[in-house]
Amino acid sequence: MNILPILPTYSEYLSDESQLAGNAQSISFPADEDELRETYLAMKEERTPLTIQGGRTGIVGGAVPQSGHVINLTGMNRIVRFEQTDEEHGLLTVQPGITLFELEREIRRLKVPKPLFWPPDPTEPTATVGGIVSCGSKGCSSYLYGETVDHVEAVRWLSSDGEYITVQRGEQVRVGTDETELLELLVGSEGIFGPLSEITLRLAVRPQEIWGICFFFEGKQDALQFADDVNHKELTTTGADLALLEYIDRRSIDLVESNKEVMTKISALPDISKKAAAMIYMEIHGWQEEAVEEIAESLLELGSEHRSDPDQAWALSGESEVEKIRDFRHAVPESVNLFIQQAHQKEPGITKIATDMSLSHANLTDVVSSYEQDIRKHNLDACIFGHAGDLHLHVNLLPHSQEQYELGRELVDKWAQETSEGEGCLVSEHGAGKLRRDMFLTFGRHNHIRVLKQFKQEQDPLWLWNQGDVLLQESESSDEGKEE
Amino acid sequence: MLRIAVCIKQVPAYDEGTMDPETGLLQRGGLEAVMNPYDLPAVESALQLRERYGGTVDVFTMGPEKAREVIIQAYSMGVDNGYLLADQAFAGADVLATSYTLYQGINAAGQYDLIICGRQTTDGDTAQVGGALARWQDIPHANWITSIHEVGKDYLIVSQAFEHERARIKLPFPCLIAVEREICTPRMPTLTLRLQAKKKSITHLRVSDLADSHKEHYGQKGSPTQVERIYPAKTPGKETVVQTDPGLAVEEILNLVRPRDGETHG
Repeated sequence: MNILPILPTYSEYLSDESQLAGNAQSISFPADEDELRETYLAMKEERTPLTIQGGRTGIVGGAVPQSGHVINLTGMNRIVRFEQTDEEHGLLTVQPGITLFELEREIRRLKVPKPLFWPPDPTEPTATVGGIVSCGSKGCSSYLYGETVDHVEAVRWLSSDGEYITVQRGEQVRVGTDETELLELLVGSEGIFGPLSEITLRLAVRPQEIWGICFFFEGKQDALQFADDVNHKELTTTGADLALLEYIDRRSIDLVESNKEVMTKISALPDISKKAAAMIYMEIHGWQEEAVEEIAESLLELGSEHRSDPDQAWALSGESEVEKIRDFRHAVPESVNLFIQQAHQKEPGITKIATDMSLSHANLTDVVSSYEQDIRKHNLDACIFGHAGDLHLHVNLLPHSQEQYELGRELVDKWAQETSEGEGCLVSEHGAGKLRRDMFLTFGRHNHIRVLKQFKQEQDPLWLWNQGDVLLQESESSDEGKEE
Repeated sequence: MLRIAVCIKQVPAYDEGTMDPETGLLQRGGLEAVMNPYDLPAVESALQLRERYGGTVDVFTMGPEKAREVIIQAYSMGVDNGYLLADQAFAGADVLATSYTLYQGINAAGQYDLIICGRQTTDGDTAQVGGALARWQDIPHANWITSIHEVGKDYLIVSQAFEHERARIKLPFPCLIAVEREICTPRMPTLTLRLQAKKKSITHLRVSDLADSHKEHYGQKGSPTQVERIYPAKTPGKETVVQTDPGLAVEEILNLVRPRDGETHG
């Protein structure tokens, strides 16, 4: 156990990509379960709050400590074991600190009859699997592969009495009067019930054929209606599926293009025509090239119908080539983070303000129009991008002043209320952390919040883990959340 | 009307994740293959010349049957004709044998005003095939080309980069140039062309199709050099961009690079 005081050289561990500034007295980098437990028990003895950290790539301040001790799990980054369950599936158990980049490398090294992969694909390769599972981050391909929890078989969890508990899929737990699946409670809980020391991932056979296609539209409405049409048509054939449907607006494109010089991965991409008002990025995953081409042909026809020139549409095949467009897509939130970083330097009160809300009963055209109307009304700068397939857009406000920042926060609260009233999901994959906690507690579903609170009270009665994230200890009043 | 030939190669899309961690040897099995990144600006340069001056752009690649994938990619960018030099006899070729095979293949296809090569390949890294090919063709050549200024009826004016200066040189047709990556930004393959690409024919050239059909002049038999080991350089994982005042930036950068107790560096 090596408890280190927070010296200036560790100052970066007091923040994350959200730019929220934190405070802590000590930090540790446990290398294994024993060190993690020893550290926890020592802190528990002194009733010192603990904040769990992974790659600190989060944007809601979940890994930013308020006080006490920081447990950084990036040293627990090993593969524990692999079990091939059948020719096309496997279970890979990893420690939580392994990054997506390292995970991908290790999966490629597995000696298996058919190449495997872990379907969740959040765009930041330095994000850790522990962080991804804790937030339920799912990435762009969730359009085809679904929620992150569906790709987790089991976890090993450090309970409040310092014992490790292995939680398998299907295990039920009673929380108050509710019966719920424990694994589903832990995945997406943002570490408020304690850290995970091992995570068993469900690997699936890797698609042999991957195509990435970008359509550019001079009219934004054409882009939105195209995405809605693609969504409604459910383009699937035997042997291939549409795996990803992303909307990127012009402001997002401009942000990326302005950062091209400092982002080496995208510097070799051609500039996007100034005439493009928006772009739609799609991926087709499949096992037969003909099936992939069949979907691509359908997209070509549909794109032409919506006035996108197929002669200008990008089409790349193979994972390495497709990665070029993925790098562009990833450069969008990265560019927003750079913008916020610079704004934060001028106005320290500015942190990231973005939505992570998804809707179920609407179409993209209406959703984007509604967001844009509000943004215009408040005279704010913002970019909109995200998962068009499940109406899960990341509206990122770009404040140029503290006043605009406050206006932006009010706007996000308004959207949260509307999303809640429309039976949408407020926190889809980034977590609530500290920055979206109040919004979550105000507009989130009452039953869900009640279950989280009860389980927190049972499992972490001293409220030591991740204080300030998701829940507030003192706000036990029953008027929180939305009644169901 | 320019007749342009471009030499391209399929290379493994490797990184440190595809190396054997114990031996350090490249694990090629199951590796995805891509067009050599240095060849993309060569193809783009040729397409831009065709757009400006008219003519045709043909690509030539030597490799296994699978190497047809890079020709399909070139078709998706707008190339007119593709030639695949695939024969068991070509396997294991060094610079000399590779350049000789390309020379034979290009001549089997016809006469070209201009041959364009990429600076080098990412798997061989010799940057010598272009020069050797020009020598076989007995035509002038220039490496390190950073821009093409002018194309006349029988000449080409280009910029050639040296360590500290650039030369503006005029080359008579036929000639060969090896271009730098900075010469242009390669276009993306388009959906229309990508869907048409698979339907386009690729000319398959074997030893028997070449003017010199002596197998001992090709592949490993025709190669005086042997490669002992190939491995990629280690690359850093995360790039951090610090944008602030110079004084503050220095401290931030120092904080990033200073080793800290207990911290694990990947």
